[in-house]
Formats: sequence, structure tokens, C-alpha cells
Amino acid sequence: MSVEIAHKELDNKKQSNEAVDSAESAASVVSFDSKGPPVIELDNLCVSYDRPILQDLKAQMRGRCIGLLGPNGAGKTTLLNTLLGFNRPTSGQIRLFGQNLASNNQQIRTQVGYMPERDAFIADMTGIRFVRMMAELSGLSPKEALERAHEVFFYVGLGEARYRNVDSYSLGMKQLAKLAQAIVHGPRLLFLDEPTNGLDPPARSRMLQLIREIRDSGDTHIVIASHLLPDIESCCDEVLVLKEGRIAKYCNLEEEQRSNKQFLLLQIQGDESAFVQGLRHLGCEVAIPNRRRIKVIIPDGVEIKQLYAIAEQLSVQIRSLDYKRDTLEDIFLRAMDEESFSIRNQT
Amino acid sequence: MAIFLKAYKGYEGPLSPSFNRTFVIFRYALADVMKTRFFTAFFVLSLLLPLGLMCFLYFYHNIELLSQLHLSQYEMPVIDGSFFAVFVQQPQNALLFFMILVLGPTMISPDLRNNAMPLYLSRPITASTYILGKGLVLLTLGSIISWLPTILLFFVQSYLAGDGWMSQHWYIPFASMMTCLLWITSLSLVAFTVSAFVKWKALARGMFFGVLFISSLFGKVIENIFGGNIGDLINIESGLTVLISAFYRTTSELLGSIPDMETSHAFMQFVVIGIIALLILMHRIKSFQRVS
Repeated sequence: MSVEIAHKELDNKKQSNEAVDSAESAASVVSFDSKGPPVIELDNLCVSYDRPILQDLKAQMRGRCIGLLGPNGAGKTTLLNTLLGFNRPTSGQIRLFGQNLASNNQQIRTQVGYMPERDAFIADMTGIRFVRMMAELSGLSPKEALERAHEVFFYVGLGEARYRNVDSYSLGMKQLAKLAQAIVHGPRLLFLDEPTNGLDPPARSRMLQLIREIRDSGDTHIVIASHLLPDIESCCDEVLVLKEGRIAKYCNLEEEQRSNKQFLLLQIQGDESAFVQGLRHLGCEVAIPNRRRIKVIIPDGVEIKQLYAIAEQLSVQIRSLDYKRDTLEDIFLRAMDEESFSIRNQT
Repeated sequence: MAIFLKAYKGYEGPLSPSFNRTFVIFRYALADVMKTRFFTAFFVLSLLLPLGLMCFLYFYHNIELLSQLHLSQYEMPVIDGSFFAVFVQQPQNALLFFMILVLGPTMISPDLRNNAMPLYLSRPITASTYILGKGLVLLTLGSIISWLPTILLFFVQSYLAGDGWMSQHWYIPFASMMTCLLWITSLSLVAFTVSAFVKWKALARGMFFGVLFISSLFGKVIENIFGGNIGDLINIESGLTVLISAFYRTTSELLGSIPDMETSHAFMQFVVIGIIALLILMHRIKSFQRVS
């Protein structure tokens, strides 16, 4: 069997397994066994305007920080707007913290913070007054609102600019002011729509750092809609991938990456064919993408030291051994492929 | 979260009752209005009218002073419903129109221009709370320069006139309050609706003026072509004259020609204009929350 054929076979096998998994997961409610009650529950959620935008979304999200991913027009912003109560579902239900959004909208909104994607502020107001007003609208007393507005301005790093008019802020400062107004009332659930939009690298890094700090505070769950995979990867523990208004993938990032922990990339010197033979004897799946490089999937029960033992036995040098973990990009791209694969199968 | 710690912390303190949110919007909008020098000057000047009328009432009842000036009460207008309709209500209508022309478009259009609606509506407030909060600003300021001074004048006149003047003219405060509130509410809603479609304040002001001017003109054209009072139903100015005439119980020539329209029709005209403007405005504001 040639090297190329072996590689193709390995990929095909993996792909078909994933397609089966995908079809199974599409038929049932997507959820994880993470601790705690679900933060967001989508129950057959459909949203339509002149055409269906979101179709039959079912999920129970428990993550501390949930990333909403999807290509343009996938329905990310519509889902976010529906979770905020801006759009009325055509059918289905949404529950936030176990409360039905349709019947407890006002109550839920006291616990929600929202940072919109586009420039959004109130004209002719200083930063501090703007944020204070937003805090008061969320239900804080004027005194408490003023105190927290000052604190939150220092927290996001705009302390020195808090008495300047928001109109005069730079793009990065406006993004931080939007974050400040979203967190000033200490929400339990924070929606961030493209939080790093238009930011330069230092400002982006600062924004991501703030999001991680808020996440790690343990007081707030965060939902981030973004098309920037590295941003989601650096902040989120769960991702929901949307495609054409449907859930293409919902997964816990760490678990997803851990499931591919035993995918190794080896670089060797010595009798390659004998070494590959030895690996297959152990029950490993092997592919050779190019010369001296071997892709290996190790089955449960086989340990790395057994690979070294074979190498020693055959006098093969293992020059490098890398755990190949799936990046979010791999997961995202696979979700896009899986979805089209399962749709093709259904039709 | 203390400033020096710079760490994020949730909030678990008490929350204000939901009706309070309307007053938050009202308070901030009122502060924004009052910080402009132009409006402060206008506001003070508009209070000169009741002050001048109060002086007039004092002279009117001061027989000694009148005789020194070789004047008598009989040479002056009788102070009754007609006096209040012509010399108090009509100038106040003009002041209210000017106030709403200046302030109305500045209330909502900047929020729409800067995409602030999602920020408001993601909080525990509704579009109607928002409109009510903004509308209360015009209602409060309008009341301060219109029917509240009229009531004050009414009591001053009642005190100075004595002899049961108050019991004979009890309808004046009611007439003033009703006319002013209808005028302020309907004009404010029209101004808000127009400004919700136009991003620039100056253009919104022009459009507000245009909408009222065109409706008057259109009403007159229809009246000339078809006759009857169909045209008056479109002309808000006609409705206002009919209401003033009915509420103040006067047919004074100084009011101009009083259209041949039922009072209930004139009242309904204001209600219908208000409802149509409100529905369009609500629809417009709700459409803005989906923009982001």
C-alpha cells in the first residue's frame, strides 16, 4: 500500500466516523455534562423574517465563556439579538438561568450586559455620565451607579479619560467604554458582539485579557460572537458553531482538543517500513504524509513508551514527537464540512 | 470593586423598582436640555408672559392707580374665558410650538444616530418607557411655561376680583390644562416621530415644521375644493381653535374664524394624530434595536 493511499484511508475513516457522530448529535439535544444548571437553553428555536434565519436550534449551554462562531450570515447576530429579547422567536423557547425569556424578559434583563458590535453611545455625554446612566437604567441607585461607573472606568483602563466626551474617544476607547457600560451593573450574563472589532494588537490583547479576567471572576457567564477564531480560542471554554442558521457544532473546546490527544506526528531516522509495521502491530493507525514524517493515532491502552521500545528494538531514531492537537480552526472547518456532509446524507 | 484593586466584581445589591427607569431617562434628558444656554434663555423669557399678565391683573384691579393714569376698568378687556383664551392661551400655544420645534428633534435623533437604542433596550426598559421618559421632559417644561402659570394667574385674578369670580370661571384652569396637554403631547409625538426618521437635528426641525405646515395647507386646499369641514379634520390648527373656543366658552373674534367642527371631532383629531405618531415611533424604535 503506498504512503498516499494509507494517508487517504486514514483521513476517510476519521471523516466517516465524524459524519456519523455529527448526524447523531444533530438528532439529539446538544449538551455537556459540565457542572451546574444550564445558563442558556435553546429549545427548538426558530427565528424567521421574510426567510428562516435560525432553524430548530437545540442546546443547553453551561460554559463560563461561550463562543458563537460561524461564517457571515450564519445567524450569530440574530441569535445574540434573540437571546437579548430583541427578536421574537417564530417558534421554540429560550431559557436563561432557567427562566423563560418571553415571560420574564424584564427580570432577565437586569442580569444581562450587552456590548454591541457597532459604535453605540449617547451623544454629548462624558464617559462617566454615560456609564452611570446605563447603570441606573439597569436598576442601581444613583449613588451606587456613580461609584461603580468610576470603578469600572479604572478597571477597563479608561480612568484618566472618564471626564471626556464619549464622542471624542478613539475607536479603541469607545470599545472599552462599551465594555464598561456592559459590565457596570455586574451582570450574570454578558453578551459581547465582536469585542475586538477594529482594535490594534495591543488594544485587542488588552480587551481579551479583560474578558478572561471577567470570566475567571466566576460572577459572570460570557457569550462572545466573533469571526476571529484566535479570540474565541483564547477566551472561551465552549463554542457553538452556526452554519446557515443551524447548529453545526457545539463542543467543549478542552474536551474536543483532549479527544485528539493521541494524534502524534513523528519524525524518524532508520527503517521506516519496519517501524510502521511495528506500530500497526500495536494497533496504531499510521499514515505517512511525507518522507520521514509519520502520523499516528494511538488507540486506548497503548502508551508512548511502547513506541520508544519499538524504535529501540529496530534501531530507529525518533528525532521529534509532537502531540498534534486540533486547533479551533480545525474544529471550525471540520464543523463546516460535517454539516454539509450530513445535509448531503439527509437529502 | 474598589478603584485601587481594579478587579471585576458582580453586583448583588438592591435594584430600583421598574417604574424608576422612566425617571432616569427623564432626569438625564432634562439635564441635557437645561445645560444649553439658548434654551435656558428661552425658558426664562417665556416666563415673562405670565409675569407681565400678573402685573396687568394688578393694575386692572388697582382703581387708584388707574384713576391716576386716567383709565378705567371699563376701557379695558373683561377678564373672563375670552381674555384667558386670547391673551394667555394663544401666546402660550406659540411658545409651546417653538419649544417643541427646538427640543423635540434633539431628544431622540441623537440616540438613533449613535446606535444607542440597543444599549437602552438591552436593559430592563421598553420602547414605551424610553418614549415616556423623553416625552415627560417636554411635558414638564411645557407645563411650566403654559398651564401652570395660567392656574397661578387664575388664582391671582380670583383673589383680586373677589365676588364669586372664581365660581363663575371655574372652567378656565381645566380649559388651560386640557388644551396645553393635548397640544404638547400631540406635537411632541409628531416631533419625535419625524426625528426618528431624520438623523440631523436641523433637518428634523425643518421636517417637523413642514409636516404641520403641509397638513394645514392640505386641509385648506381640501376645504376649498370639497367644501364642508373635511379639510379641518386634517388641519391641526383648526382643531386647536375649536378646542380653545369650546373649553374657554368663547367665540371671540380675536381667536380668528372658528371652524365649523364638533368639539368631539377636534378632540379625536388630536388623539388620532397622537396614536398614529406613537405607533410609527414605536415601530421605528423597535427596528433600531436589531441594527447592530
